[in-house]
Amino acid sequence: MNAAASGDKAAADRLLPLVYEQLRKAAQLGLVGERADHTLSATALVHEAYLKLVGSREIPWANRAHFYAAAAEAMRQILLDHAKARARDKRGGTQGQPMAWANFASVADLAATEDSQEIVSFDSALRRLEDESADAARVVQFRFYAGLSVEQTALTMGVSDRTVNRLWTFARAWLHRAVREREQKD
Amino acid sequence: MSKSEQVQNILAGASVLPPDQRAAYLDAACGKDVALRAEVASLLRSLDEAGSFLSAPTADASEARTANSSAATVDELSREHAGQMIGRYKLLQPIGEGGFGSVWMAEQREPVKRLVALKIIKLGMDTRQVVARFEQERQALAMMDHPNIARVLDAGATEVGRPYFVMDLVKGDPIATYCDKNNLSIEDRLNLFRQVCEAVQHAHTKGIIHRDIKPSNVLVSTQDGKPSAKVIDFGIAKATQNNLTDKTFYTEYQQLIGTPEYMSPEQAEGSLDIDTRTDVYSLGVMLYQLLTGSTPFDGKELRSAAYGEIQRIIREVDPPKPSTRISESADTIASVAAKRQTEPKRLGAFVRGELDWIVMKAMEKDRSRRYETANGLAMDIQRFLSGEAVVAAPVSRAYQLRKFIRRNKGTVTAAVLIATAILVGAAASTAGFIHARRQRDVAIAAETRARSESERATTAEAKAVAEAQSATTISDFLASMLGGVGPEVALGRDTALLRSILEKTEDRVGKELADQPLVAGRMLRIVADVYNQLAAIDKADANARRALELIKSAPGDNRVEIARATHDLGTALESQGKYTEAKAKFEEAFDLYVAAGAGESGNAVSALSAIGGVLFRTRNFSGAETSFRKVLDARRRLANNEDSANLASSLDRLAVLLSYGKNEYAESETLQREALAMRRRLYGELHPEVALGLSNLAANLGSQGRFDDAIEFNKQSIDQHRKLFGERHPRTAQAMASYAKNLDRSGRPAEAIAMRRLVVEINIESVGAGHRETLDSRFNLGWAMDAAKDYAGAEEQYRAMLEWARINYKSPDHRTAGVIMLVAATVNNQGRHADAEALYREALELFILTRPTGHSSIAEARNALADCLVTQNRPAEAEPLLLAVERDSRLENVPPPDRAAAATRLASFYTDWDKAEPARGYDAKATEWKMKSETTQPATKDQIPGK
Repeated sequence: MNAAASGDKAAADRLLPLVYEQLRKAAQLGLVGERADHTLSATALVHEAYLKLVGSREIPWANRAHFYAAAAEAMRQILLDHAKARARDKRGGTQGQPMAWANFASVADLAATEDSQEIVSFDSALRRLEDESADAARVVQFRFYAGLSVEQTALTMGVSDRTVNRLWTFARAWLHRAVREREQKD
Repeated sequence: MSKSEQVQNILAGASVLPPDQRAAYLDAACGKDVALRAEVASLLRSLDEAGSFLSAPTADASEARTANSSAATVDELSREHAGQMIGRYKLLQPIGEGGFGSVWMAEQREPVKRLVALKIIKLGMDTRQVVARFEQERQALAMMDHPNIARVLDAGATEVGRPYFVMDLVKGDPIATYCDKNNLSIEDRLNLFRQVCEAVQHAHTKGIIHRDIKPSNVLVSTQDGKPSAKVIDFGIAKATQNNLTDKTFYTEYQQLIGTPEYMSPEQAEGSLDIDTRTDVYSLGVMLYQLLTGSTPFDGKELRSAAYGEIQRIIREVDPPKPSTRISESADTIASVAAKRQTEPKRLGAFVRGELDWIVMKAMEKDRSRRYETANGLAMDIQRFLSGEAVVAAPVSRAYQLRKFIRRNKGTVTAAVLIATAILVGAAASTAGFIHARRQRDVAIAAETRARSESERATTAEAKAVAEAQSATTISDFLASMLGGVGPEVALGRDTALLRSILEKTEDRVGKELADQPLVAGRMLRIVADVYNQLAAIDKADANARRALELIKSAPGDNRVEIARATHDLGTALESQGKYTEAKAKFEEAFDLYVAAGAGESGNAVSALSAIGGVLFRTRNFSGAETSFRKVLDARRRLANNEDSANLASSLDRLAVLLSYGKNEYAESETLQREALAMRRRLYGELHPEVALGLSNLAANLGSQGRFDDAIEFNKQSIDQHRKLFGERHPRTAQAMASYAKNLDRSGRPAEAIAMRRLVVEINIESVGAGHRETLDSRFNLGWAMDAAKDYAGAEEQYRAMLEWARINYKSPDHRTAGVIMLVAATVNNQGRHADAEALYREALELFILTRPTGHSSIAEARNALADCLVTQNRPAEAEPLLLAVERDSRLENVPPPDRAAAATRLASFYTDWDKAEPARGYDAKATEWKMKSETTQPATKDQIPGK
C-alpha cells in the first residue's frame, strides 16, 4: 500500500470508533423504531456520519474506500449487536416463525426483521461468501451495508460497473441460497 | 480465471436471458463441466426465487436488473408515448419534465371521463415501496378538500414497474412566473402567497406535510380576473421517499433531483423527523423569491458545490435578508422592481424591516424559532398588510450566538466535534481553528516561515497555514465557542467528557506533532485556555508551561509567540494565587514584546494590564492605578472611537481599582457605565463580560449607598451568570458574593448570610478548599455570622480557615495568628472562656515572635487575653498584660491615640477591679491612669522605664 493509502487507513482506524458511535446513535433512531414510515437509509446514515466527522472537503473516491469499509463493518457490527440484544429480550425459543424469511431488500429491512436470527444467519452466510469470493463479499459490504450505488461501488473498488453488477448478482444468488439452506436445516 | 469467476460470468450471462433460452446457453458455456453447470443452475434457481431479497440495497433497485446492459438502458426501453394506456388512463400529451419524472396530460375513461395529470416517476425508485407509502397517505389525501389544493386521485405502477400518480389537471403558471408575467405588486403577491399558506395549513390539519414546496409546485391561473393558486404534488414527496442525502446532491452521476434551494436544514441533514415547520421553511423561501426575484441561496452555486457542501450551506450559512438582497442585486434590481410595479429604492424600503423579519422567521435554521404553522405565517403577513405589529422580532446578537451554539450542539455533541477536529488531520484542524481564533498567528507564521531554518518545519507549517484558509465548519464552531463563551455553556456543562477529550488531545499533540513544536505549542495554549475556563487550574498550568516550552523550542524567531505563551502562563499562575510569579511572567512577556518591536501592540498592552491586575490583587493600589491608566489611554488610542472589548475591559479594571483601592466612587461609576454600555453593544445582553460588568456596577453603587439600584444590578448579574456558567461556577459565586455584600450593607443580614453560605459551598466545590477565593468567602461568611451573633457558625468558618493556615503558612506566621484571634473571639463569645484563653495565648506568642514590638496586633492580643482573664475572674493575671500594652504604646512607632487608649483601658480595668475587691488601692490607680490618659504624650526612648 502506498503512503497515502496507508495514511488514510490510519485515519480510518482512528475514525472507526467514532464512526461506530455515530452510526450506533443514528441507527438507534431508525433501527429500533416501529414507526410506520421510518425511512432509514444506510446511505443516509453513512453519508451523514462521514460528513459530520470528516467535513466537506473533496476527497477522491479511492480514499473513501477505507472509510466506507470501516463504516460498513461498523454497520454490520451494529446489526449483530442489535440481533443479539433482541435475542436476549425474547424469552424462550423462537418457534412458530413467520413464513416470510429472507425477504429483506435493504439493510433497513434486515434491521427491522422480526426474527433476529435472520441477521445472524445472514452474517454467517456473508462470512462464508468471503471465503468463496472476496470481491463479491466486498460488493455486498459496500452496496448493502454502506448503501453505495453501483457507480459508487465501482469507483471505490476501482473496477467497472459491469464487474460490480456481475459480482452483485452472484452474491445475491449465492447468499440467498446459503440463507435458504440454513433455514431449511433449522 | 478462478472457478468462482467463471461461475459469476456464466451466471451473469444466463440471468438476463429469458428462461427458455437459458438451457442452451448453459450447455454452450459449461460444456462438459457437469459440476460447473450444476452450480450455475443452482444459483440461477436461487436468483429466480430471491424475490425481494437484497433487491434494493439503496433506493436504486433497477440497477440490479440492468446488470449487463450498458447501451440501452431500461429507462429508454420503456419511454412512454402518446396514446399509451397506463392503468385506465390514456396518455395524451406531455406537460412537463421534472426531477422525479415526467408529467402527462391524460384522459380518464372510467368511471367518469375527464382530463387528469399523470405524473410518472422515473425508474430508480422502488415501486413497491413508493406505492405502499402512497397508500398509507391515500386516506388522508382523500380527505383533503380545499380550493387551493390539487387533489391526488390515484396511484399505481406501470408495466415496467414505474410508479405514477394521477392528479387534478391544473392549468397555470408556477407562482413566481405568474407574478412576474403579470407584474403583480408586492401587496398582490402577498395576498396570493396567503392563499398558498392557507392551502398548506389545510393539509397540515389533515396530517399531510408537503415536503417539497417550491414555485413549480404552486400553479396560478386567473379566475374571474383574480389570481388563484393551486398547490400540487401533496403526498408525493413522501411517497417517493426523498432519499435526499445521496440522491439530491449527487450531481456527478445523476441529474439533480429535488430542489436544494427550497430544502429546509433538517431535510438537508437527512433527518428522519420532518414536521409541518419544514413546509413553513419552504414557504419562507418562496416568499423570499416573490419579494426579491431570487432564492436566498443561489441555485447555480448550490448545485455546483462540493459533495456535502450543500448541506452545510443550508444548515449554517445565513442568507442575506430580502432587503439586503434587493439592494445588492444592482444589475437586476431595475427589472425586479419593475415586475413589482415599483422602483428599486422603494422596493428596498418597503421590504426592509418587517417583511425581512417575517421571511427570516419563517426561514430560521432552528425550527422551534419558526412560525409554528403556515397559518401563523399567513397571519403575520395579514398583520403587515393591515399595518399592525408583526410577531416576528428582529434577531439580536446574543440570540445569534446562542442559536449558533444550540444549532451545532444538537446535531453532534460538541465533545465529539472537538474530538474529531483534533483527531482528523491534526495539523490542518489546528491551523484551522487557530486561524479563526487568532488571525495574527497566521501573519506571524508567515514571518516565521521567512526566517525559518528548518525546511521541513516550514513546509508543514505552510501547509497547515494554507489549510487554515479554508477553516472547516468544526473549526469555526470551535473558534466561536472558545472565543467568547466558556465551553460549559456550549456543551451544556458536559465537562467530564470534554476533560477526557482534552487529556487525549494533550497526549496526541505530544505524539503526533512532535516535529511541529510551534503548532503543538499553539494547540496546547488553547487547551490550557479551555482548562482555565473550566476552572481546572492545575491542568491549565501544566499545559501553559508545556506550550511555552514547545514554542521556545521551535526554530526561528518566535519572540511574539513566546511572549504570548509566557503571558498565558502568567494567567495560569495568577489563577492559582501565585501572584509574585505571575507578575514576573507578565513583565517578562511585556519585555519580550518590546524587544520584538511590538511594544505598542495590543498584546503588549494586555501584558501591562495583567501586571496592573496582579498589583491590584496584592494591594499595591497606586502601582496598579498607574498601570491601568496607561493601559486605558493606550487602548483608547488603539480603539479609535469604536467599541472595543479590550477598551471596555480596561475601563472596568480601572473603575474597580478606584472604588476598591481608593474609594473614589464617582469616577469609577462613570467608567463602569461606559464599559457596560460598550459591552452590551458588542455582545448583546447575555455575555460573561456584561454579567461581570453588572456585578461591578452593583458593587460600586452599593459603596455609594444606593442599595436599591445596586441590588437590581446584582440580581441581573447573578441571573446572567447562572445562565452562562451554571449554578456552581466560581464566577457565579463571585456575583453572589457581590450581592451578599450589598444585602449586608442595606440591612438584610440574614439573606446575606444565606447567600454567602452558598458562595462558600460553590467555591469549595469548584476551586477547592485551599483556594484563596474560598478562604476569602469563608472569611466574609464568618464575619457576617459574627455580626449576626451566630458565633458557632462563625467559629466553624474561622476554624476551617485556621486549618488551612496551619497547613499553608510556615510556622510561626502572623497570618495564622490573625486567624486564631478570629476563632478565639467567637469561642469567647460563646462563653467558652478557657478555650478562648488558650487560643489567645497562642496568638499572642505568635505575634510576639513575628511582629515588631509595639505592633498593634500584639496589643490587641494582650487586650483580648486580658479581657478573657477578667471574665474568668483572674484580674491579677490580666494586670501585667495591660501594663505591657501601655508600656509598648509609648514606643515611637505607635500612634499616640493608642497610648491614650491603653491608659484609658487600665483606668477602667482598675475601676472594675476595685468594685470587685475594694479597699486594695485600685481606685487610686484608676484615677492615676485616668489622668495619664488625658495628658498623654508620646514617650521617647529615654523615658521608657525599665522593662
